[in-house]
Amino acid sequence: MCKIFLLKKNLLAGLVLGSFLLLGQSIYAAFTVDTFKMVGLQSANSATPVVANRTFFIFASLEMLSQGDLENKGILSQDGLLKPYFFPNPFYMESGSTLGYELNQDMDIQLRIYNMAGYEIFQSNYLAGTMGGLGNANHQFYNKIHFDQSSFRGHDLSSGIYLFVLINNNKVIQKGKFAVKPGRLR
Amino acid sequence: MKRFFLSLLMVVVLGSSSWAANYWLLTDLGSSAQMIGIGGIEGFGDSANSVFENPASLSRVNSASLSAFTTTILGEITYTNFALANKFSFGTIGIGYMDASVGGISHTGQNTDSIGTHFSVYQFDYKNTIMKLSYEKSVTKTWFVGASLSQYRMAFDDVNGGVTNFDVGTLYDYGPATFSFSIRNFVVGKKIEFGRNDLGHVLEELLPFQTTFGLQYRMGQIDSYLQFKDNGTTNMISLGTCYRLETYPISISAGYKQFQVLDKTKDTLVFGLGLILEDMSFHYAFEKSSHLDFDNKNYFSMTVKF
Repeated sequence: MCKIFLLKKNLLAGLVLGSFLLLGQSIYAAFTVDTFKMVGLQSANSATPVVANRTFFIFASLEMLSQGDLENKGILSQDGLLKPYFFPNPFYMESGSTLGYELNQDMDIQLRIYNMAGYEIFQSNYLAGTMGGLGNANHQFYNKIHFDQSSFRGHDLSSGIYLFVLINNNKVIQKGKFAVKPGRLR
Repeated sequence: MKRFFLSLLMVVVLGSSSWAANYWLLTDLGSSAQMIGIGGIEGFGDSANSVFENPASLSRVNSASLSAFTTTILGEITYTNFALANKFSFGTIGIGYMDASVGGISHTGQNTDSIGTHFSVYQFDYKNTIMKLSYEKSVTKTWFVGASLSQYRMAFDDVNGGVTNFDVGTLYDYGPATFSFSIRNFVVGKKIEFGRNDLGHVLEELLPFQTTFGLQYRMGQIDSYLQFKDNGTTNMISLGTCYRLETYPISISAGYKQFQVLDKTKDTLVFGLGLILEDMSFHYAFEKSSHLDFDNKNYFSMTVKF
């Protein structure tokens, strides 16, 4: 079993990002941990480094990863954009969750959500240049769409897994899944 | 007495018509390609997978039966079931296991930068299972009754819960017609509990009380089916037909099925194909999907009699 170090977030982030900046290149890095992953992203075009937000975590190994590796690990999609995720996930319907995704240019987007039986339960269109259809190649826009009961005509969704796809010109450009927790907060 | 049952019915129907979601039953997908191929008609199978539908239809198992079913929905959600039934002098006993699983779901976090991009902290799997223990007994040569003990369980991330309930059903043969009536989750109001949230409140979801009435009518090589299903909030109709070729061990089926999406009732068409051999049968069912990448849903099942 490898030796395990406990490091504070700021110290670790400083060390890692400092090393990368010295290299002077556009770097993606991922820290693979025994049972969970923390992800740090740094782009040469980005003014603000993006670092995983945790106070402590177990740093087991550090890998330099190609885009292919990052696609396989579910960090980037095939076109080099951040993968779409709901946050929080899993979530309670009562508090809702926000879908975040990148596009490589402004485009019309249709979002569809499917239930466990594969039936479509939600569909919405977002016009190019508006929230939901914003994008450019420099990762400057991050679309955010909030979902709660009101998104589903006032209904809770049953607990379980739901699949979603982002469609442009009748082609699926991004997809993912989210989980709804059972019960209510109050 | 009549008034009592009417009151009970009102409580069941009105009580479950709230905005809160009920627990998703795996069996709503269907338990075999054969029954999906005729529009999701329940209760007329002749194999062990009747444990997932109407336990009284285990009467159609002649000696022993083993059945299996699988499908993958939209390339992500895998459904599997197995069932075994055996006829004894005192009745037919059946056991069944069905699950749905999904892997690679991200527990997410949000970065603290001004954009607040989302990222995957770790990944978890989802598993939803049903186990059935069923018993069928003949009351007369044409009237059968059955009951099942159902154990439900769902687990994903930090969610883990289970509950037990009962199904009851009856099957009645009348000439070329057979009537099926079943109640799923007979103990009304039972909830599946998942522990407590951070505020100490119990997390729970109501098991839906489902009633299903079906009719099968045999006319030569053609079987026709009609079904009314009520899941506590919606009434749904299914229609189906199955044609068995005379010279080949093949059956062709088609069905129309209504299903519930939130507060709306939608419908779909399904088609099926069966290869029925001496002691084995294989079935395939097809359903169109609105998903662009996975626009077909394919279901497979097999049955062995021994």
